[in-house]
Amino acid sequence: MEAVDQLVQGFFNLLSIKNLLACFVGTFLGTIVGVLPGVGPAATMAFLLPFTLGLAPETGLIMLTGVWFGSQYGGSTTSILVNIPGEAASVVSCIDGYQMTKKGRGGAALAMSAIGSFVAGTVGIIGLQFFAPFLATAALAFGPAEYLAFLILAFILLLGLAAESPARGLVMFGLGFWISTIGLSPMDGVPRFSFGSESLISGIEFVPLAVGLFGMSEILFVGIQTYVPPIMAKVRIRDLYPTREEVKRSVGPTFRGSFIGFFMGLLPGPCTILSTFMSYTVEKKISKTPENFGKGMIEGVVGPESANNSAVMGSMIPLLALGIPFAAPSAIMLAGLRMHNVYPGPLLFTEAPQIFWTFIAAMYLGNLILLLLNLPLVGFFARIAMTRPSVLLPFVSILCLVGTYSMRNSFFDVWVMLFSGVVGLLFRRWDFPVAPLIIGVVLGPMTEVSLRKTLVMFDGSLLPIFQRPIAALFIVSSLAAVAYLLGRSWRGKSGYQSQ
Amino acid sequence: MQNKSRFIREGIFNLSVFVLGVVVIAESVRLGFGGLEQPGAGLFPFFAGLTICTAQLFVIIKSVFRERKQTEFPANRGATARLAALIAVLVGWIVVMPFLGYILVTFAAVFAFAKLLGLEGWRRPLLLSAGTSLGVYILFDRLLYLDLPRGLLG
Repeated sequence: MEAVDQLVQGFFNLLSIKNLLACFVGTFLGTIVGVLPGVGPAATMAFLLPFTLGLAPETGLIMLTGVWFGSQYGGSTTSILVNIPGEAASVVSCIDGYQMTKKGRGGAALAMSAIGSFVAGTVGIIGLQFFAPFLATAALAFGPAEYLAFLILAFILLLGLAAESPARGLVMFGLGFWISTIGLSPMDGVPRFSFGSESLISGIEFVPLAVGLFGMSEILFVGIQTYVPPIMAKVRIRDLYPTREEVKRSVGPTFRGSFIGFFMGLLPGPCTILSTFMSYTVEKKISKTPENFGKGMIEGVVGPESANNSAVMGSMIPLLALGIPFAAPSAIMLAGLRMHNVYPGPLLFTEAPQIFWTFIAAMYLGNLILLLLNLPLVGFFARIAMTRPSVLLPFVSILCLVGTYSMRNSFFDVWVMLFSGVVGLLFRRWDFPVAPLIIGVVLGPMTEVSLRKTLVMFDGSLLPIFQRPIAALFIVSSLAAVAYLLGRSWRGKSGYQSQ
Repeated sequence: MQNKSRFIREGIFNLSVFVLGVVVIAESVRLGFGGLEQPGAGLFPFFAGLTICTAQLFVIIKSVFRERKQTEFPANRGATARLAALIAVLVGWIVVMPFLGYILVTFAAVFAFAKLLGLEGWRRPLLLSAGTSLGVYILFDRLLYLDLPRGLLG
């Protein structure tokens, strides 16, 4: 009952012009980002961080989540109509979505995936609303030892799920941890890796780093490719009506995708991408006509599109309840909240419940806005996807430069951003995943403090961790995960990217 | 031949990351670990450096003994030249900005960027440059009250 009261209060808090505008702008921008190949949600969220500084914490959180949420909706448009995924999480939708377009059923595929996404988003929000406070209460029993053990488990799972090569992922975690140590050390204030530079003593700012790694590297990558104009199928409003048969066939995949996505969101890794692969595999396995997958089955579009929306909500649970992000966009969100001096974790629900409940209310509204935006404006978003890189990239690059500069009026930050962009491109060239690096940067200070506190607490030994049941469970799970990963690596199999 | 040059370039990159890990370890040792009962500022970065070196060593060994599948990445001479030119424009924006100010430098940078990316003619690149520099100026300087460098126009 208390939860209902708080949710109602959340809706009242939401009814401010700023919150409503943030919700609309976030979801609208997110849809555009999802539609445009080459501009990802992580880069956009990193770029928006300085703008959210002038807003209330919940308003900033609403805008950033709206971008992530909206990008999942928008990604399906180009996947289905042009066979080009606007977002990595929409790659799977190309398989059957584009085939449906070729058969003249692209409009129905768009409509059913938008409705499926709406249902899945709602299921995800309900799950988040109930699971997050529950997990937060359980996490109140966590001390530094439990956090350290949990972080170790999360890192290992992330390496196993996210990286094509766990070794490359581990290198990136190491680099992220190292970057997080540049500047003054958290417990004794000793300057580290500043090499006498005043700019480095205060550490590397998160925004230039994230904008560079995700945004500028993408601009440079798209800039050196040869542009081939896509051929877009036209969709009229009347084409959006699905047949009764298509609606009937979409119900099951929508709900299955919602649950798969939500639970995948709870795991470390690129949950939105993994959940689409998982949903597609499940739909194909249980189908009576699996041989028709790849030839325009609506189940192969609606299931994955539902899953990626629900996964966004699932991944908010570890972020809000434990303060631990499992994916690059949630790492950026955590950095944004910290800039506002809001520290997600168990205490968020007791010390600042209005942030959580206003956010939940905003997500209900955002989900509805996305449904209303995506169906009638599908033609508009499809036209945006046709923008040539020679028009789009100069504009976006200036936004990256000016946005980074304006954060502290510092050219040093702009240099950091550009350097990160070039290095990010090199990482991409040689297949080093960037997400573990950014998660390492965000979680580095927390890991260091947990490690040092645990060592102090146990007089220099980590063995007493095994006397604490929760921490011991995490460590044993970590060892089991390492054994599994080594076995898989020995057999020559790797992460989802190879599938 | 192409494989050999790719192998060398990948090797240089991999070795650079490994050397960075060694530097991190060396600097961490200089910072001091403290005791395990009272850990010092160098302990955590030492672990970070050790992680980089160990995992990167594995990457290097694997790249020597096992050929990796080629990734889709434009690595021809034209793409490299265009990349260098794009980076030069961005560097130019940062270096010249304090002297010439936001409007002039951004106008020139957008124009150069658009031409490098193949936007044909003169009218469209000029319109894009004017629109971008003015639009971003209005957003940041007038609406968000952020002080953009004015340079000569100041």
